[in-house]
Order: sequence, then C-alpha cells, then structure tokens
Amino acid sequence: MFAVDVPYWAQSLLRVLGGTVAVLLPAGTIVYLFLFKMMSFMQSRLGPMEAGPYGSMQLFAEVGKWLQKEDIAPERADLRIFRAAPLVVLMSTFLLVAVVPFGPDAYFTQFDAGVFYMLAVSSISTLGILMAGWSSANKYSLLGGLRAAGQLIAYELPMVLAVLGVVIQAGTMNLQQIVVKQNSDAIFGWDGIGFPYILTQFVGFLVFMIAVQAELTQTPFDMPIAESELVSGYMTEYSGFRFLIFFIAEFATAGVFALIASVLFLGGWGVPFTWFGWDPANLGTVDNWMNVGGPLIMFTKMMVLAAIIMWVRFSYPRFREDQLQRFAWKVLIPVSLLNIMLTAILKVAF
Amino acid sequence: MADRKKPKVPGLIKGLGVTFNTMAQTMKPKKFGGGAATVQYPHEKETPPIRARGVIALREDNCTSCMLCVRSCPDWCIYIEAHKELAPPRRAGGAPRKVNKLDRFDIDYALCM
Repeated sequence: MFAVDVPYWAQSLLRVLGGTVAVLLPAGTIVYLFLFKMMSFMQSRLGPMEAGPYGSMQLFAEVGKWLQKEDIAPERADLRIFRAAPLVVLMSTFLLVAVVPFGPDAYFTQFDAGVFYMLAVSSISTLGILMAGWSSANKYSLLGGLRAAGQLIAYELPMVLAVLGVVIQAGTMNLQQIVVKQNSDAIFGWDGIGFPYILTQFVGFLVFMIAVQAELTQTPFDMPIAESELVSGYMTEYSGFRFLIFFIAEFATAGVFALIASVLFLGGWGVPFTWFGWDPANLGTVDNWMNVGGPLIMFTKMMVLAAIIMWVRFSYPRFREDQLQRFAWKVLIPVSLLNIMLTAILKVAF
Repeated sequence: MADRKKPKVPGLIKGLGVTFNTMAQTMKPKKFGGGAATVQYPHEKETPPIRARGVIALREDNCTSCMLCVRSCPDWCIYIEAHKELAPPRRAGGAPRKVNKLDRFDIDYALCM
C-alpha cells in the first residue's frame, strides 16, 4: 500500500503517533473552540482570554494545572480498580479510532466487521465508568455509575439499530467500503455528488446523533454526572491527572463519534469518485493526495458534527432519569426499528 | 396525565436559535454593536453611572440614624446603634427637640461587597 517500503517498526510507530494525534487533536480542538469559546459566546461572555492570544494557550495551562495536583484516592477505595477505571474509558476511545478510515491508505486497520467492532468497542467505556463508580466507595459515585450504566446500555440499542440502516443500504460492514459506496453510488443515475447516506438515512442519522449525545453523557442526557444532585457522579473522587484522563476521554470520544458519524452518513474522507475518474472497485486508483486531503475533509466534517453536539449541549436542560429512559425505549428504539424495516423494504424494491 | 403538555419540537428549535443568536451577537465586531457583556476589568475600566458614589462616607452631624442604609445594604453588613437625646430648641421659648445620637457606625468589611 505504501509507496516507499516502510519497515514494520516504523509503521507501528507511525500508527501510534497517528492514533495519538487522531485522538488528542479533535479533543483539544473541541474543548478550546467549542467548550471554552462557543459556550462562552452563547452566554454572551468571552471565555478564557488571558493565556495566549484569545486564550488559545488555555489548554496547556489547564493540563499543567491538573498534572501538578496531588493524586488522591479515598481511603476505602478499591485502589487498583479505582486507578484502572479512567484508563479503561480512554482505551475505548483509542480502540474506536483504530477502525476509522481517514483516506484510501490512511487508516490504522480495516476489516469487514468494522461496524460491529466499532459498536462493541464503544461499550467498553461503560465498563470503565461502572468500575469508577463502584470502586470509589462513595454513594454519589455509585449512583452516578449506576445511572451511567443504565443510560449507556439503553442508548446503545438505538445507536446499533440506527447504524444497521446504513449497513443494510451499503451491503457491507467495512467502514472503508461504506465510504467508497457513498462516494461512487449514483442517485437515480445522477452521480454528481455521490450518495451520502444522510439523504436516505436521515432518520437513522438523527437517532444516531441523539444516541451519541447520550453515550457521551452530554447535557440533555447528563444524568450520570448531574452536578446539582450527585456532585459529579462517577467522577466525584477523581482529581488531578486521573480526572484529566476522564476529561480527555469524554471529548476525544465526542470527536471520534463525530468522525464515525461522518463516515457512516456524510461520505467520510471521500470526494465523489466520478470527479477525478477513480475506480470504486480498486482503491489503488485513488490519487495519493487523498491521504492528506481525506483527513482534512474528515476533520472538517467532524468539526461540524461536534459543533452540533456541543450546541445542543449548551442549549438544553437536563432530562429527568425516567424521561431519559422512556425516551430511549419508547421513542428512539421503535423509530430506529421502523427505519430498519423501511430501509430493508426499499433495498429489496430497488 | 392526559392534559399534561407534551414537549414541543418547535420549542426545542427555538432554544437552539436563542443560543445561536447570542453567539452571533457576541462574535459581531464591537463597532457593529456586537460584543460580549463582559468588561475585561483590569484591562478596560467600566464607566460607572453618573450618580454612582462608590464607598459609603459617614458625616456624623448629618446622620439621623434612620437605618435606611442598613436596610438597603444587600449584605446586612452595616451596624448602627443610636440613642435619643434632647437638643436645645431652635427658637427661644420652644420645646426641646428629640434627636438621634449615633453611638456606633460600623461596616463589616469582611462581609462588604
């Protein structure tokens, strides 16, 4: 695949480096641009202004602050599990980004069960959160952890079902193939813009984004860390760099889910293949510059989707626990089931 | 349950609009009437309203211990104690006047904003 023959150790190094960038860069950008700046602007304030021009160095200040803090654990905490929990949550993010294709050759790994793997791995973070809640030996943490488990499991279902619509339409679970399909299919014979699945799977896209919002425990669904009731939910006892890891994981996962949504619904890294006469059956015909342009396109789409996630987060008040569960089981799941049925029928009809 | 109002989707959209408009207003350059509500205090000074006088000053002779300042202080940090005294009449032959004599006027600066 690579034009020059890169030895295995260098490839591994590149992958590790690329993975770190792919996780940390979206996280940093989302936190600064959206959490610090957009949120402040939406409340008619300026946000951080002192650290660097327009507060652009604020992130480094924050990370420095967190790294300096003492590493505290409650006396009765289950220490090993308490310390492992944030890492488990962050690990799920890194495992998620491994399957996202950024370009014709720019991917970490690629296999036919990509969608399946993505959905399976994304639920590892639930485990980490439960571990954090249980091992903290704190009733607020435990309540937060239990709420998180209930919520994440409830919203995993609509997410899986929403993605199924795309899988049925694409006829493959390979994320790279889904991108290729979206950029080479034609809409009733017209292939000017490819066929991004948001056009046919708009309901699926909506359900997916709502479920993502809940999976990230962003605000309308932030019952697990409801600060006015539970102090900070499962994160109550964490401070210093352990809290930092939770924080990075939260926003990195937001970025990665935005990337996955752009792959599934918005055409991913691709531009319509007919523009440049590439052959969809053979990825080798795709020009090499797409390995640079593709990640940039992905990044743009990720920013748009993350902006929507954050915008909703800053605008809406929190759901009550029972409303939250009812919304998942009584609205989202039936809607996504209907969506699957319709997609399947139309797939057979056309 | 039946007459409970269901959440309306237009309301949700409207909420998004409110935050978006505030953001647009904040990001608009100052000369077009935009900008945040924030005053970046050490860098730029706020111009106080014309009648603003700042710190309370006490002129003991003028004080009638009317407790107006005590009652309007949001922190309740002003303490006034007074007693009544008889003052000589203004005009010859008049009755002596009752006046409030100030004993204590304290501001608890630990509470004061």
